[in-house]
Parts: sequence; structure tokens; C-alpha cells
Amino acid sequence: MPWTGLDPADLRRAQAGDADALGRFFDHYLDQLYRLARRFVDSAESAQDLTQEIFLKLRRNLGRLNVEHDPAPWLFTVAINVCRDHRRSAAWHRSKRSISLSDGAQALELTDEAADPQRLFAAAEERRRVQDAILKLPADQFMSVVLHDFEGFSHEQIAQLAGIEHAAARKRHSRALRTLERLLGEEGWS
Amino acid sequence: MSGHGPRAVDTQRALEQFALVAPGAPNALWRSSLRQQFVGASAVRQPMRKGVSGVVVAATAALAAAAALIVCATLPSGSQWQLVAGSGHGQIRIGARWIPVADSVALTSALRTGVAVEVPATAQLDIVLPGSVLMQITGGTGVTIPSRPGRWLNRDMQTALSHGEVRITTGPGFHGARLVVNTHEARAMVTGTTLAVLRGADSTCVCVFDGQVVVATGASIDTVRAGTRRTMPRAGAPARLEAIRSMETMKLFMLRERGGELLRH
Repeated sequence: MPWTGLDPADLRRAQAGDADALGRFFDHYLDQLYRLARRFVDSAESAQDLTQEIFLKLRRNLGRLNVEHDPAPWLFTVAINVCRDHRRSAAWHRSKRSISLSDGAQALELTDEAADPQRLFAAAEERRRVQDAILKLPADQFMSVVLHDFEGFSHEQIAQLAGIEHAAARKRHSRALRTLERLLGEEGWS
Repeated sequence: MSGHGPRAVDTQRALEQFALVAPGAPNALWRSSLRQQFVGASAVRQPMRKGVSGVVVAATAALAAAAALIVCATLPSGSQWQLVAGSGHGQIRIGARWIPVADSVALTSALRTGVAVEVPATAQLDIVLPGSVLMQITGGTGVTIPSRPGRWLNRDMQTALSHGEVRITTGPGFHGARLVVNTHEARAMVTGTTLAVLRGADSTCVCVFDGQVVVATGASIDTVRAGTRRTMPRAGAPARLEAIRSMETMKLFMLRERGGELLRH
């Protein structure tokens, strides 16, 4: 399971400020957190900014982590809150109002360079709508969709992470998809 | 993905579209810098020197670190502009020097960012910023060698085209940078594409082979998309948007093919 596996003893040492343990913590979670952030912003640079913000918060709050439990839900919650805050921020709205070169760059990343620019922009716009809708999901449903549909977790694994029954995890995912369907309708998805 | 009930078609498509985006690995330099910050932030505090306020020590250290970071981040990337080929005959003016086209050693040593280059009608110069940009300066062109992008910050490159034609194609190392070609009539802002900027006696034409280029004039900002050219007259007449000429398409295609080989990491 990609979000777990760090030795609790390492977590304790990291909480105590041990540089080696902090380095291992960073190495263990960086790629996953970066990948998560990258899904919700238009450029690699923005994703780096968000990831930096996530690690800053993690560092500040590391002392509050209960090392007896898997840190994944906590990490994930911190990360999605940072992503959501960013999407609500003035900077985000400003970037959407201006002529965005990075939108084009993002679109070009999605497929080959020689593709039709109009199609690429349409694809980028569709993706933005999906991003907006997914980010409006309640936190538990958001976690269910992102972990299951994009990070490849099984419902059983999500149930363990969230501390709920397997059936409840499945039900939560179904509820998330219904909510997402409604939100996509509001975003003009057809 | 496992076990869940049937989804509405639009939700399924939405999730598939979103899942298509496969974020790449983060930049190695950035990764290393962030790791250092993360680990360093918790390092065991050194005992403070007697008589010096902790706030002063912390502020001084922070200022020094910030200054060092800014200097490093805005320093140009390591590569220099290099000569790929000089063809034809005649003398090329680079800065204050006149250098024969055939003298590749002297041409290479004279290529510096910001220096003005004048290529005679009988010659052509191809220069490269390794991994990032291949630029073709055709005969009868006056242009400045573009600045190099900063390592992490200030990734803008600037060049000024006074007359003639330049063709540009970008490579993987250009990612995150922006090249601005300035002429009297317009600014063409490139974030990754293959294009030509043609400066005539009374107009500027931007021809885009692939990708897209944002073109700003005093009056407007427009996007020029692949397969089109935008001509901006010096004054009065409105800008024209037309299909790119087939001869120009061919030249840009050849440049891109060449760039594909030269700019590969």
C-alpha cells in the first residue's frame, strides 16, 4: 500500500527532530504527496509550491501525530486541505482570469505535441471541471474517490485507513460517485 | 480498482479523463532543496552566543539563507549558447566584431547573451542553448542573442528582432521557461513550440508550426495557434490572421526535426 509502511520508530525519531528520520519521512512521502498535488493544479511549478506548503504544515504539526496509528489518513487530510485552500485562494482565481500560458503547456503535456490545440484546450477545460467537482466533495468522499479511483487502493485498504468497516467504505464510495455526478452536472459536464 | 456498482456514464467518463493525467516525477533540484528545508527546519538548535539576541541570530540567518537562495535561483542555468552551424559566406557582426561565417571558433566564443548579431543576406547562423532552444537566424537579420533562463526563478528569456527572420524550436530543457521575442510591433511569448518571427519593413508576422504562441501588441493580446500566422502592421491597419504558408511550414518542419535530435537530453 503506497501510503503506509514507514517504521513507527522512525516517526518517533522524526517527531524528536532526528534529521535522518525526517529525511526518511520526506523520501517516503514526497512522491505520493507531489502526485496528489499535481492532479489539482495546472503546472508542475504550482504542484511544487503546493507540495512545499504541505510539507511545511506537516513539519509544523508533526508533534501532534499519533505514531501508534498509520499516518496516511493524517497526511492525506493535510494534503487535501492545502489543495482545497489553494483552489479557493485569490491567486488561483487570478490565474484563471488571466491569459494562462500554463494552461496550454498543461494541455500539451496530456498528449502529443502535434495534436490540435483546440482539442487540447477543450480537454484542459474538461479536466478543470472534473477537478472543481472532485474538490467540492465532502472530505471523506473525496478521500474515497481519490484513493480508490486514482491511487489504486481497494475498499478494504481504505476501510483500514479510515478505521471503518469494509461495507461502509464501499457505501461511502457509492455515495461519493452519486455526489460527484450531481456536482459534475452543476459544472456543466455532459 | 475493484468492486463497486454501475456508474452514470458521465461520471465514469469524468473519472477516466481525470485519471489520464499522469503526473511526472518532481524536479530533482527542487526535491533536494525542499528536503533540505524539511530536515533542516528541525535540526537541533545550536546554543546561542552570549549577548546576541536569538531573534537577531535567527533573522540574520534567515536573511542570509534567503539571499543565497535568491542568488542561486536567479542565476542563469549553466549552459551557454553554442554555434550549431554557420552557412553561406560573408562576415557576421557580433557585437563590435566582424567574423567570417567560416570561422566557427571565433563565432562560438563571441556568442554571448544580449549581444547584437547582424547576419548578412548571404549567410545563415544556427545557434543552440543545449537541451532548450534551437534558433535559426536567417540572412539579412538583426537580432540579439536571447538571455538564458534562471535556474529556478526568473525563467524568462528575452530577445529583440530588429529586422529579418528567426525560427525557433524548443526542447525538453525549456520546460517552465518562456522566451519573449520583441519587435517594434509586437511581443511573441513562447512557452514551448516551433515558430518563426518575420520582421518586414512595416510589419511583424508570427508563424506557428506547432503548439501556440501568445502575441501582444499595444492594443491586444492574442493566441496564435498551430498552422496559422498573425501579421501585425506597424500602425493603423488591423492585424491579419491567415493560414501559414506552405514554404514556411516546410522550413519549420525541418527545423523541428533537427531540433528533435539536437535538443534531446
